[in-house]
Amino acid sequence: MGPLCPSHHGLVRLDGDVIESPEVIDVLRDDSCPALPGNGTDQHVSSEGVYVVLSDALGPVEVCLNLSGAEPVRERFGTKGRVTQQALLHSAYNSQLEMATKDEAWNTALDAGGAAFELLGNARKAWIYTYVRHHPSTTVGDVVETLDLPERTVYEYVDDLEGAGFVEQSNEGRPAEYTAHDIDLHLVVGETERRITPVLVEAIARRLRDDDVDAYVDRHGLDGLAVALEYAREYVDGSVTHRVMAREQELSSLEAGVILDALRPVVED
Amino acid sequence: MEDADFVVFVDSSVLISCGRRGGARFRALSREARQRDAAFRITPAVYAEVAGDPMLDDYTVDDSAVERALQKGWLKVTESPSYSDPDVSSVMDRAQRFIASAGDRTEDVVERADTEIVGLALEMLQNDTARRVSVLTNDVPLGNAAETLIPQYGFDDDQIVWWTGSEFAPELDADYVSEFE
Repeated sequence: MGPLCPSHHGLVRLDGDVIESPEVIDVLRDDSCPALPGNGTDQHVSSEGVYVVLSDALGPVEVCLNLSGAEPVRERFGTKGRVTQQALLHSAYNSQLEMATKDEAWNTALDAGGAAFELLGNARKAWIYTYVRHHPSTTVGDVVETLDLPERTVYEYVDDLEGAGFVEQSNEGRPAEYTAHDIDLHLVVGETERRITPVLVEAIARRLRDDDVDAYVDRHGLDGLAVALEYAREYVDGSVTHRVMAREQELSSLEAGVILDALRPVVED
Repeated sequence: MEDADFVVFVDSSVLISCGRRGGARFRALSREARQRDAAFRITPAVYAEVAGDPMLDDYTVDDSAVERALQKGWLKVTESPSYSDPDVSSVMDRAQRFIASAGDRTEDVVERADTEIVGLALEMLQNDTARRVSVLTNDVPLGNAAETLIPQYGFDDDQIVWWTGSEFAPELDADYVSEFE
């Protein structure tokens, strides 16, 4: 097999791990790519020793992605196609991943996981952080009253948030009172940058109370939610209609209208 | 078209907002409709957006509220605008450009169906089926387009008024997640 097609150069490396991104499948099934002949279901080995395996059109896809010029990434893909932050940071493929906001193609940058991003994957933690941010000097008891969670679990989550530096105790007595720190983390993936901010965390927290936000994240992932937040900012600023978002993001206008209505309070704060 | 002194065009942005999560906002919309001496209308494009969308199954939007309103008669679906009317056609084209430029977009992301409300508002004013028209939308560029463009066809500013949902009924501005207000 010849060298990888320049247009498809450099994606992932793998070792029998699983990824389910339709975009990845589309690229790997591109018959015009000399490096990937056939229907993409065979194993291919490039001159750089990287191979690609696709299993089935509808089932999980095993891929080996080439990291051109980079140290091969050995992190394993999760069973739902999630990749580690480190893998993403090294992957030249992510400019394509970041566009993946449709349907189940949500194994994208912000879904990467990793310790720094656990806050994004745990809506209850996101809720606690956001609640503390909106209500300075919050106690664990205050949080327990707003969430249907055991006090022990809330203590654990608050400890985690404190350990990560997202909240800190703001008094010296008991009960402990907590105040939130602003979060501004940057995830740089190829040419794509995602910011993890209190606004994004609040949007995730709303999954607990707003089934429409939850459904949207299920369909479009956290990257999709981050994109929707950008549209919500434009919407509140008066730049776009919900139909413009629908057309640009290939959503139904109803879906765009739903998520803009749900996220509007987040960006209006 | 039947005559009405005051016509309110309700956009899908407001109907979607009102239909979410149990429809409490829709009840407020219905209450306001009963209390105001106005004919509430939706365009065919808006009706298509809020009824029969497959996404309805995934989200909490209840399209049955729109159907009930249509059955009760306080909300009606209009005919499409008269595209062959030069003024109607031109105002819709201008609205398309207006909305696109508001977001620094190209015109192709705004379709003619998106501007039906503006075309119909002008048409009803021109053929005297309405003396006043209000556009009820949360989409700022659409509301601005209606208020900006229609007076340029010889109508007074008070004959075309844009309301957002929250301006129409305070319940439409309530945050479902009160803990974060």
